[in-house]
Amino acid sequence: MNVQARGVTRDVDPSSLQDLLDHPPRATIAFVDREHVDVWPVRARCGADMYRFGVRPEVAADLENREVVLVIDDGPYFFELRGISVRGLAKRIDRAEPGETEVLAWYVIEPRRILAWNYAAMREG
Amino acid sequence: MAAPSDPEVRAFLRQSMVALVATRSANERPFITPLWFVADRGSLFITTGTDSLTARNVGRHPEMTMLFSGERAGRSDRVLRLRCTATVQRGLPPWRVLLRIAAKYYASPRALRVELGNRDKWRIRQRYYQQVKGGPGHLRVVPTVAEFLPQPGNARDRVGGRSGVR
Repeated sequence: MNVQARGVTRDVDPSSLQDLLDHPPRATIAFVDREHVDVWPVRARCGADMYRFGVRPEVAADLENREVVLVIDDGPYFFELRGISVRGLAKRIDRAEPGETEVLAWYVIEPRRILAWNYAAMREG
Repeated sequence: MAAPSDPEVRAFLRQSMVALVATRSANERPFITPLWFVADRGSLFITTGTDSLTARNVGRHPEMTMLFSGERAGRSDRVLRLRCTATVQRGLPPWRVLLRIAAKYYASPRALRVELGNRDKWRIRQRYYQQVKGGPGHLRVVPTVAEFLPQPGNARDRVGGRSGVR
């Protein structure tokens, strides 16, 4: 894992991972807080080029206007590994996501870079 | 908070397959990537190219944070966060660690099924590995602080299987 592809690539178009975006199996956010990198599990909602995430308000720092990286990933074994990474600025959403029963602090990411990978789709680049 | 040596922490690590590894770049930007790991004699080992972004970040800022979801146990309402100190080592990890990696990710019954089902891709995977940036290397990671965090809804529901939550 984590090798930089040149001739062979596992990079894919994010739209090819629509099922992953529709039903995120695992979603994690990373950000830098007071010279430490921090990570939290989040609830992710993705669609129509919108990437939103909810964190439990009592355990998370205020992420407004902070650079964050959201990773949604799946699969423990090599040819099952796939995921998407969205880097951008977090903006607070005041309203709760429709259908949510858990009280979370919701953010939308203004994307600056989006990467997607699927090891089962590995091919010559 | 818990000690990394706490039996509950060690048991949760045994149930975890993928670590979400977060590091800080030279210009103070966050980076996170899912990586395989194994535990050996109080340390965690992660194979990666010595010039990968994770390795370069660790070279500048040895502190990193990892998140584990205990996915082997199925649904869980919590995750484990480890704050760690890591060092980048050139070359492959010790043979003991390589054997643990092979047993965990290639030789378990389900891993074998996945491997055999994708045997037509073994050659291209080999070429992919040969591209490793900076040559083979690994991270030796020493956990310093362990903490269990509550898991928000959809991830909790989906670990180990699809729940249909939208």
